[in-house]
Amino acid sequence: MSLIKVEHVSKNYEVILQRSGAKNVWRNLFCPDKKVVYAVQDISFAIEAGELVGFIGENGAGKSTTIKMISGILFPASGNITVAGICPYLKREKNARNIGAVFGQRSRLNWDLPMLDSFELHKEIYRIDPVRYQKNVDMFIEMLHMQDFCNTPVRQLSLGQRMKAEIALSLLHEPAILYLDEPTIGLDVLAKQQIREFIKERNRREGITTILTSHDMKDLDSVCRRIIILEKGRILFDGAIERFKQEYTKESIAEFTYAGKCSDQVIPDGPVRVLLDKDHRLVVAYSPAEMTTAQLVGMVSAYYEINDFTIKAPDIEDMVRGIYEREAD
Amino acid sequence: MREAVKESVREAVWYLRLTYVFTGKAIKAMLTYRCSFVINCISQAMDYAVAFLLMWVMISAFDSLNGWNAYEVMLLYSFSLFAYGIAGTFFFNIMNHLPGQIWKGGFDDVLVKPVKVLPYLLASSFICNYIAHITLSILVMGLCFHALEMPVTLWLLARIIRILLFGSLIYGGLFLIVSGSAFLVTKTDALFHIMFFFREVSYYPLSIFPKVIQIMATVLVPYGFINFYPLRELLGKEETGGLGYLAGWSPVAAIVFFTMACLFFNLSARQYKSSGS
Repeated sequence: MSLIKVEHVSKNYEVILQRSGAKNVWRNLFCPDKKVVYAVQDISFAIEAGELVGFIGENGAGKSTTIKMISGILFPASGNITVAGICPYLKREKNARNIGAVFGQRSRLNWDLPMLDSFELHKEIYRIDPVRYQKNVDMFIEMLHMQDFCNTPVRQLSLGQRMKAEIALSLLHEPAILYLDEPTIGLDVLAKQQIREFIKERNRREGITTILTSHDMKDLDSVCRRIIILEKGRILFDGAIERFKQEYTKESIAEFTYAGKCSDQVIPDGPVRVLLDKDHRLVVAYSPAEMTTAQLVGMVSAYYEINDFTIKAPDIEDMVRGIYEREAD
Repeated sequence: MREAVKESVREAVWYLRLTYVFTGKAIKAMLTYRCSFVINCISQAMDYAVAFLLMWVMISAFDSLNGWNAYEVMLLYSFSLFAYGIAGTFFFNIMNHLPGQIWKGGFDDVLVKPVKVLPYLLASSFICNYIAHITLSILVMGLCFHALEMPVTLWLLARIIRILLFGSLIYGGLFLIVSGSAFLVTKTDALFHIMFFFREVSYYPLSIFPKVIQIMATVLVPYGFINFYPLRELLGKEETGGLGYLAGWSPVAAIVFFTMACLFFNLSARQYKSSGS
C-alpha cells in the first residue's frame, strides 16, 4: 500500500473581491462580491515509502495547498487523503509525530537564542529519547558543517546557516516523511549543494520519504527521482524525471550573436522558431530530429551576419516553461 | 474511565513541564535584552502608579464616590490590575502573536506539531512582563487594607485569593476571545480596544455608571464579577447598584465565561483549518 494516497482532492477558497472607488466602500463592507477560487482541483496521486518527489508549479499553482493538506494543516473540500494509513487532518496530532516540515519562507527557530536551544525545545515537544536526541544532534552538526555556529544566536546567522538548522530541526524526531517547501530559497550555491546532499543522504540511509517544492529546477533535477507538475490546481505531469526529459526534450535551443542583418525579412515560422531577437542576440528553438546543425546555421546566415553561436539541449526549467506556454495558448 | 482521567492528568503534567521548558528559554532570550525588560517594567509600574495617585487625589477631594471612599476605590483598581496581570502572564502573548502568526502563516508550524493547539500556545506564551503590575497592585492592596483598618487574617487572605483567581479567569477569557477572533478576521486590534478600554469600568464602583453599562458589564462582558460584586461583599457595603445580590455568583460567572471563551477559541481554530489564510 502506498504511504501517501491522495484521491480526487479539491480545495477551494472564497475570495472577497474588492470593488475599487469610494462609492463602493459600503458595498464592499456589507455585501462583498465573493468568488470561489480553486487552489487544487480533483488531483490524485500516490507516493510510495522512500520516494523523493518534487513538486513544480508557478506561484499559486497549488503546491503549498497540497502539502498543507497532506501534512494535516488544511481540510480538503472534497476527496480523500491517507498518510501511513491515517487521515492527516482528522488525526492531526498522530500524523504530526510521523512528519517533519520545513516552510522555507519562515523560521521556527528562536532568533534570540542559539539553534541548540530551539533543538532542546523540539526535543521536549516531540518527547525524543535523550540518547537518540544527542546522537542525532551530533550527527546533523557534523553532516551539515554546523560546528562553527551552533552556539551563535540565530539572528546572527546567514540565511544558509539558518536553513541548515531548520532542516536539522525537522529531522530530530526521525520522521518517516519530510515536507520541504522551498528549502533553498535565496541560498548561495554551496549551501544549496550541502542541503541537497543532506536530503539525498537521509533518503538513502534512512529511507525518509521526501516531498520537495522548489522554484530552482536544479534542486529537483539533482535531488528528485520523480516530479509532479501542477498548473492552476491540476496535475500536468506525474512521473519519473527521466521520462519527463525524454518526452519534452523535443526541441533544442540555439543562440546566435550577429553583426547585422542581411535583409529586412525575418525568419519565417517553420522548423525554426525565433524566441528572441534583441541587441544583436538571436535565440531560436529547433528540432534536432528535423534539421542538422549545418542546415540550421545555413538557414540563419541567409538572414543574419553571424558572429558566433552556441547550441544547448534545454534544461528542465526551459521544458517547464514550454509546458506552461503551451497551456496558456 | 479511570484510565481516561489518568491520561488527561498525565497530559496536563506534560504541558506544565513544556511551559517550564519554554519559560526557561524565554527568560534566557529575555536576558539578552535585560535593559529593555527592566525599563519596560519600570515604565509600566510608573504608568499605573500615577493612575493610582490621580485616583486618590480625585476621590479624597470629593470625599467619596457613591459611598466608596478613596481607599476602597483604589482597592477595586488594584484587584482589577492584579487579575489583569495574572491573566496577561499566561494569555497576553497568545493574543499579541496569533494575528501575526496567522497572517504570515506561522500558525501552520503549530499545526504540524503533535500537540493540542490551545495548551501548546499557553505553554509557549508564558511571560514575566507583568511583574510590575502584580507587585504594584499587591503594595496598594496592603496599603488600602491597612488604611481601612482591616487586619489581613488568614480567612481574609483566602477570600482575597478566591476573588483574584476568578477575576484572572475572566480576564483570561477576554484575552482568549480576542485571540480566537484572529482566526476569523485576522486583524484583532479593534476588538482588543473595545474589550480592554471597556476595562476602565472595573476601576470604579459599577454603581456610578448608567444602568445600561452596569448591565453590559454584568451580562455581556462580566467585568463586574472581577472586582465590584465580590469586593462589595468583602467590604460589607450596601447592595446598591449593579444587579443585586451577585457576589456569590462570581465563581460561576468566571467559570462559565472562561469555558465559553475556550470553546469559541477552539471552534475558531477549526475554522482556520477549513479555510486557510
